[in-house]
Amino acid sequence: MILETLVFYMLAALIIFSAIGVVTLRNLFRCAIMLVLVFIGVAGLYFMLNAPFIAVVQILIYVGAITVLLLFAIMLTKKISDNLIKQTNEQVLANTVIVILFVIVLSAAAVKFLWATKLVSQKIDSISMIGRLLLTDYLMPFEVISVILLVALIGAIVMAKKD
Amino acid sequence: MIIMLSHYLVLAAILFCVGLWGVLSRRNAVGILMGVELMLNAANINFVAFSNYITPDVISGQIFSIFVMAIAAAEAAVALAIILNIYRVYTDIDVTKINMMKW
Repeated sequence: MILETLVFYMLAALIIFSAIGVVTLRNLFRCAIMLVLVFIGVAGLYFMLNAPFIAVVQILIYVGAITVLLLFAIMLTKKISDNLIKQTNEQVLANTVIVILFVIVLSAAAVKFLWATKLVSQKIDSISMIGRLLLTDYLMPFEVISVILLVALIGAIVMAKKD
Repeated sequence: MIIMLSHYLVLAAILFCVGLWGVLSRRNAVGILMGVELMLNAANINFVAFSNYITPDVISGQIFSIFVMAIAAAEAAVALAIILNIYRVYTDIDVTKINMMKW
């Protein structure tokens, strides 16, 4: 139990500090590397939450695909990782106040509410359950999401290619 | 001290708000996209945490987080294609300067 608490707080610190790095660092390349740290920390949380399949998918899709895509975009657009360019707009102060108030409201709501939690009964085989659910109850959303991915792929290629 | 559901919810709230700050304050379009990815990850943490603590026998929360990830991948691909097009027209991706279609 004490080990679980320790791991949770270490992952939480990793996630929050890397996330603050993602939004504040000036060099966008470093921001992308910090984003990888956030994704790995979140994958660790999924392992703690008995969701090993989601954790592996997180590492595959986010760390493997989305970060590489972001790095490509950063390298294809010059002039954006220059340290001299101002990285924030004029509303930083107002944004900070609003965001801090928002996090206080959300946290208070999450802590005060009495969640109807159940004890985790026994280890369930979540991977085979996900596979069964995706091909029975969630078959329609599963097919629709594959069509959406295909459309997004074709759309991205059509938009990004030179005329 | 045992880790409860509210610990995960507070962590996800903080992550969501850091991403929101990035979306609201960044000038750079790719930086805004990174903020959106942080917010989507916070939502995913909530899905999986609710799935584990409230309905541990039915894992529909995990299924939803898979859908969120697929949407995030599609969104990142399309958004980066749009950013590359904007860069070709303006040779810049500062969103405060991209105001051709504002009025």
